[in-house]
Amino acid sequence: MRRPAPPRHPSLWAGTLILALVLVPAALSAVWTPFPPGAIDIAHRLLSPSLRHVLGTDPFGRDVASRLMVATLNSGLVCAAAIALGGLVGIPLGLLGAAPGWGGALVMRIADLGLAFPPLLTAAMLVAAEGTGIAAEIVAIGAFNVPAFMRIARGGALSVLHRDFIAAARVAGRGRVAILLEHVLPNIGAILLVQATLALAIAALSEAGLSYLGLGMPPPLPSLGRILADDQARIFDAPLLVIAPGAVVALLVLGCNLLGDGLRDRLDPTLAPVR
Amino acid sequence: MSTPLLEADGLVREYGPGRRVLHSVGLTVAAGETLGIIGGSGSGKSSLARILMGLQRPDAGRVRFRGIDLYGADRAALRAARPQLQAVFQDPYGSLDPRQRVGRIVAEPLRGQGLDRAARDERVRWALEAVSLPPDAATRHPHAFSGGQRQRVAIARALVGRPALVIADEPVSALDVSVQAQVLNLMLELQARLGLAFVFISHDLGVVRHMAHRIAVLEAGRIVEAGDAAAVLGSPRHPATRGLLEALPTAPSC
Repeated sequence: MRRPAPPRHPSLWAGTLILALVLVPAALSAVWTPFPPGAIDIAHRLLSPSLRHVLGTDPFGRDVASRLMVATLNSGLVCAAAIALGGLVGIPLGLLGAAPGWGGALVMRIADLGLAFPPLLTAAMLVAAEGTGIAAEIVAIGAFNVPAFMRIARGGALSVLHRDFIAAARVAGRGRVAILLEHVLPNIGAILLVQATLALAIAALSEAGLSYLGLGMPPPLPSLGRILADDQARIFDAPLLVIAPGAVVALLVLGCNLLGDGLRDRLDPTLAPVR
Repeated sequence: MSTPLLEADGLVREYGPGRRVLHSVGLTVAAGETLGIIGGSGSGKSSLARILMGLQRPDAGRVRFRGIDLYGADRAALRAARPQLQAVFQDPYGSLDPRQRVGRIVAEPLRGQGLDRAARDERVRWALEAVSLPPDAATRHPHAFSGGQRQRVAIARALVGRPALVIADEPVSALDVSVQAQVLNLMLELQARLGLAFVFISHDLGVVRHMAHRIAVLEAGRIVEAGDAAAVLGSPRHPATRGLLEALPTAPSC
């Protein structure tokens, strides 16, 4: 079926634009920053924004813009790894959960149990149990994404599995695993991508939260949450020190949510809001 | 008659207690013939089709294809016989995976048959040609095709493993009337060329009459009349058959 004119997806473009605004400088920080992010220069502490220091300097004279770029990259990589982990574990389990009979039901009840815990608390609890560190943080954030991916994968699989091309594949003599990999997974790819994007928003928030609480990235590495925590006392004399990392977190979350909504409208027209 | 190709007896299917949609249905199909199964909506056609295709275990009864129980314990024999038993579904929009290219869709019954890629491609080319689709159809996705063309793709998939029997569940009822005739004639031509047997399931007596050598009339989950197509349609004995015949539109003679 051909649509007469492709519908426009403003949130897709807005989300892409906002994320690009935040993530392009972050990616750039891997090869270049205006100043070395860790370079302490007490003589130039707490400078106001200028052409030299776009966002000013912090109490140690470090360039705020450079530190934010690196912090965003660090946070982004942790979130991406956590989502990848959540998907790699959750999607196969969700497909397993789509199996008929008590096995599938059991798998999904376990997922419900996981969803019953509030995400940030789950993450904090896991970090408390495992100790801090990048790996622990990735596992913590990834863990509460597992049940979400399971539910999405299972729901998608159930709706694909009753379609005739699955029956045709069975008549063609294909086994269960082949059908799941070759027919079900490609047909739920779109909704999984949307889920990953939306989950990225929550992950960014959680990463900032964990780092703020000192449960996230270990000290020498700049992260958005810890910059907020370190400089929050300066909110009255140097408000930009707190506003800037907060704004980056907010933009990341907003951008991911808009992108996710836009992708969903674009990839699944049946879910698009009626205009 | 020697052993029939497909032999079903005592098939029962029920959806919960008291909701029995098939009551002890039995039928046979010989090599090279078409058995038409005709019934109105709710007669149990689709349940019967799924059981004959090996997709839905019946609550009682057996289906044997070349003497092998489709729901029996001998998995190896079933796997070996399976490519010989193929199916065509009603909705050509639902029966082709929208994410796969036609070449891959058609080749699906050949997967796991120990054929190499070149041999598979060769068979796919042959099957597409048999249903009068251009060879470059293989590189396109199903959405690039019309309903009638898609049903040709589905038929090519059913043919590619050189089946002995194709079970067609309402294969033309989703198509335009003008396209229906093309697809039906294609199936007849393939039958003549390849010696296929068909189980042709439909609610449309006109279509079944065009296709079937023998006809079974399914009514409320029971086969109420069966026999030679000419005999069943020429002197119907059961009221259900007469009802179906009367429902046929008669073309004004000119």
